[in-house]
Formats: sequence, structure tokens, C-alpha cells
Amino acid sequence: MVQPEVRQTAIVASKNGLHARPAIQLAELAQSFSCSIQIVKDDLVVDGKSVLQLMTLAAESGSSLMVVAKGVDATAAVAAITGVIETEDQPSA
Amino acid sequence: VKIERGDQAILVDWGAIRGRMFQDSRCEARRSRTNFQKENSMKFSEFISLKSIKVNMVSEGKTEAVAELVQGLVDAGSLDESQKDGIIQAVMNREELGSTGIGRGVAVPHTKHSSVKEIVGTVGVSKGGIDFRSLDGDKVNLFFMLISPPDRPSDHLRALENIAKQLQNETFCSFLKQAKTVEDVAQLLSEADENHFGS
Repeated sequence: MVQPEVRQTAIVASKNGLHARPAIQLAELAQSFSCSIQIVKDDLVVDGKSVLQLMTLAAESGSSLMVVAKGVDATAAVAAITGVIETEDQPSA
Repeated sequence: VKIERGDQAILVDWGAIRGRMFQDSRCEARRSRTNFQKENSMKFSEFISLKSIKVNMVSEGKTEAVAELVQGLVDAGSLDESQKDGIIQAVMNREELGSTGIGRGVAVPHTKHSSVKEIVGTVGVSKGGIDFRSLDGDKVNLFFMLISPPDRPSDHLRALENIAKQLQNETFCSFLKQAKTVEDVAQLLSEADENHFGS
């Protein structure tokens, strides 16, 4: 059976970019899904379940990220993860 | 237009000045990291205060560890003594939002603080490990602390990018955890900056 693949672009809303806290939040969220999740920025492709890899994106506010999920819960995963990326940060970073 | 010999000398001088101005502007750009530029991650040598590095951390608890790292930066002259308590509190407030213990024995405690004009950082090594309420529950052996000015989120991201890149390398992490002297750590950071660990 072919695993469904879902892709969606999201714009980083946090004015501080994808710094440690959103990276941790994103990785923890990604780990709650069984599908594989990759985050793509320009020519960089990282594992969405790895905090360290997410931090290497150095994704600034307004940058465009492509979320690519493959697996049975890919649709839900992409919706949840793009939601986090497009959420504004809390005041203290 | 005919260019005389004297004019050529002036042109050469002007070219040199322009070149220097271009280099200076590049340096400035590297420091300011505007949102409009895509540059490489910030090297350790650009933000780690070597004098502040702690290779044998004595702390056992989280707040104590943060205070020890901040004290190292104060002692190195990278932070103002009068701001110490406020910075420790700010780092701990940040930790309350979620631990920066990201697993694999590593933590990146950080905060923004208006008392710093440019990003400063330090490295701490604990042989026994410190309970930092990490994501994976493991004790932390390696600390990378960052204190950033509030108006330079891009610098913070670039510094984090470099730390994260290097920490993915098992050899780098392993050697750092075994470091016995500040010079050992400084050497490893320098080698990392020169891509000796393949990042």
C-alpha cells in the first residue's frame, strides 16, 4: 500500500524566527505522529523530529518552510506542524 | 578619456579604498546579520568568550548551573556584574517556558538582555552531569549559553544554527565532554570553526 504524502508551505510567524523553543515544540509535536516528517528550507532538508536538525535551518521570521509528511497520519501532521510554524511567538524568547 | 600615469595611481588607490570599504561593509554585514542576507552560521569565535569557559562545572542543580555559567561570563568581562542577577533570572524565566535541555546530554540555556550590545556565549562541561529537566530526562554534560541583545534575533539564530550543526557530530560532542582544560575546549571550537568535524 502506498503511503500518502502531504506537502504544505508555511511562513515562520515568530518574529524571532525558529529559535530553540519553537524548534523544541515543533520536534515534540512531530514525534507524536507516526509518519515521517521533513522540513525543507531552500536547499536544506531536515528531519522534523530532530530539535538539532530544526535549529540548523536558522529560519528567520517570514521565511518559507515546506512541510513534507509521509505516512498514515500525514494529513493531520502537516496541519498541526504548519499551525505551529505560523503561530506568533510568546513575548519572551 | 586619456588616463595619465598619475591618474592611474589615483585610480589604483581608489580601487584599494573601495575594496577596503567593501570588506569593511562585509564585516559589518556579518556582524549585523540582516534579514535580507543569507549567510553562513556564526562561528564559535564570533560569540564564545574563551575566558568564560568552564570545564569542570561544580553545580548540581539547574539554577546553580545557570548561575555558574553567567558568573563565568561576568568574570571574563563579557557581562556586567551589576546585571548578573537579572540575567540569571531571565535565563531561568526562559527555562520555565520549557527546558533548553535538548537531549543527548546537551543544553542551550539562553536569554535576551538589553545589557549586551552583541551576542555573547560560553561553554560549560560537567563531568558528572547536571539535572536540567531535559527532554529525554538525561543529565546534561554540555552547556552552550547564549546572551543576546533583544534587537538581533538573526544573530541568535545563526549562533544556534552553528551550535546545532556541530552538536550533531558525535566526535565533536564526545571530545568536548572529555575536555580537561579550557584550552582543550578552545581547540575543539577552533577546529569546528574550520570544519574539521565535517559540518
